[in-house]
Parts: sequence; structure tokens; C-alpha cells
Amino acid sequence: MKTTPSSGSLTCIGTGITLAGQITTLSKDYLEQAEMVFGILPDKLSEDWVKSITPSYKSLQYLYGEGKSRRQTYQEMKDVVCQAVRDGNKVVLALYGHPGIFACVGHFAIETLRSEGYPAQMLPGVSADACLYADLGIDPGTTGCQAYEATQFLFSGVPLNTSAYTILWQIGLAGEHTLKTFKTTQKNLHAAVRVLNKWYPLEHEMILYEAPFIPVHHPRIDKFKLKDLPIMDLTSISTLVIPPLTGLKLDQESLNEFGLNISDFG
Amino acid sequence: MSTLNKFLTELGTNAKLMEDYKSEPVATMKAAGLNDEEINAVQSNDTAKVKELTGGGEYAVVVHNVKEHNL
Repeated sequence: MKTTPSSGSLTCIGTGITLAGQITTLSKDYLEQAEMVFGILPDKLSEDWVKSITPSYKSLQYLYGEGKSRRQTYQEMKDVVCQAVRDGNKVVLALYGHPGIFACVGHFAIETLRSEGYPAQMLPGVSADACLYADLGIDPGTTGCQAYEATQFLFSGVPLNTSAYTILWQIGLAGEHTLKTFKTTQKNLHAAVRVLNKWYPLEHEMILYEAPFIPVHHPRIDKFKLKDLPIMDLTSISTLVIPPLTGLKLDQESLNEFGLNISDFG
Repeated sequence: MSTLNKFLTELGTNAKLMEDYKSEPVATMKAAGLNDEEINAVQSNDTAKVKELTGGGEYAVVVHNVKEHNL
């Protein structure tokens, strides 16, 4: 006989990147009303802030471990959250940034709980790329924008569109394939330069970007040349931003499909 | 929550305080009750020291996505 789900539910929220000010009004209200709150936040300061909103906050950071596969860690995080819902609690999972961008735990938990008949939802949050566009003054609508997790891109051999911006997340973990450590190597960074050099000259200027977690800090915006990537100081929050080599151009063959000519655009 | 933690949290949500801080950082921090060590850490942009003074626990910040290498 199929059992009826308890009254538990899950809401995944994003706390934004910079402390306290980037959470949405609705997400904060869910935090305040939750019976149990779990989170993956970047530091004690953020945890202090969330605890000031909801004393029931419990960090899931303890499930990480150097040498332990993050694949296992995320499954364990999902299991903790899902069990709290099955126990009948209104649960909030608070993740820094946006809860569903480059973040699998919320997606996993929602999928599992919905399959078991529990209500589960995700609310949007301010993500690192939202901060990046604001801090660098980039509008992704101007030339287009492609974004990859750095290692995923470097291993995949996919072509880059050099007329658009390219964003490589986690460049500080470039080539780290074990999911067991939080840093890369000089060897991997030299390999990354060789891969990127297929599309960009070694002298092409790039940007290392890091969004500020604390309001008194400024974003990191360091410009450098591709050839110098291995000597840059990279952290786990470093993002590589590659400006386009060329802008978008009109293509007559494409315009033909619409019965248009390049001359129609003055 | 410590005075420094309260100040930084308030700074993230209070536009007037942020503007006061931008124009008069030291005076704003003193008015909020921060001590010299805290003010120096903030002023010198010493992230590690600020983290230490706010309770430490700088966790690894990585993409939480096990599908990241599923090709």
C-alpha cells in the first residue's frame, strides 16, 4: 500500500554572493518561516547572518572532506535534506548565489522529493554571473556570451565562439578531474593555455574576476594576457572572462533565409 | 553576533550606512563600535584577517555540481 507523504516540503533559496543584501524578499520570508534550514554558505559570517534570521540553521559543510569525492558529498547532502522533509518539516535549503546555477544539491533534492509526492520548489537568487555583469560592465546581450565550468570545457574539445564573451567558471580548478581536491597545478594551467591558444592569441587580454563576499571588499578585476595564466594567483572563486576577438557580423547566407541583404542594415 | 559581524551584515542591507562608509570609512566603523584591530583589517583589505575576526570557517567555495565533468 502506498503511504501518504507527510506535510513536509522543500524550498531551495539563494542567499546571493555578497553578504546579506542579495537575498530576495520572498526567499528571506521562506527562511523566517521554515521549520528546518540547511545550508551551504561560504563562511561563518554568512552563517551568523542566516542564524540571526532563523536559529534552526544547520550547515552541511561538514559533509565535505579533502580526499572525499564531492559526488558522494552531494548525495549525502541531498539525503539529509530529503529525510528532514519526509519527517514532516517545512525545510529550506539555502545556497549561496543562485540555488540552481552550477549547484546540483537542490536539483537532486527537488527531483527526489517530487517523485515521492512532496511539494518542492526552487526560488531564483543573485548568482555570480549577475555580479560579474554588473562589476565588469558587460551586457551579455551585446555580443552573446558562452559559459562553461572550466574543466568541463577543457576536457570536451567543444569549439568556442570567439565573437562572443567566454566565461570559464572555476579556472582555479582547471583540469582537476578527481573531484577530491580544491586546487589545480601548473601543469594543468599550461595545458589550459594550449587549449585556449587554439582560439585566442597568447597576447589576448583576459580578466580574472572574483565577486566580493563581504560588502567592504571590492571585486577582483585583474587583466592579463593568456600566456600569463599560469603565473596568476588563482583561488576557488576565480572566474576567467575572455572578451571577444571580434564582434558579431552580419552573414549574407543567413540573411538570405529571411529575404534580407547586408545593405538593408545601412 | 559580534560587533564586526553585525556591522558587515548591516552594511550589506543599509544604503545610507554604505554611503557613509564609502565617504568616511574609519569614522563610520568607529561609530559602529569596531575596535582598532577590526578597523585595520577592513581598511587594509585583509580578507584572511577579516574572516578570522568574523569567526573564521572559510569553506571551500566550489561549484556544487557533480555533473561538472560528465562529458
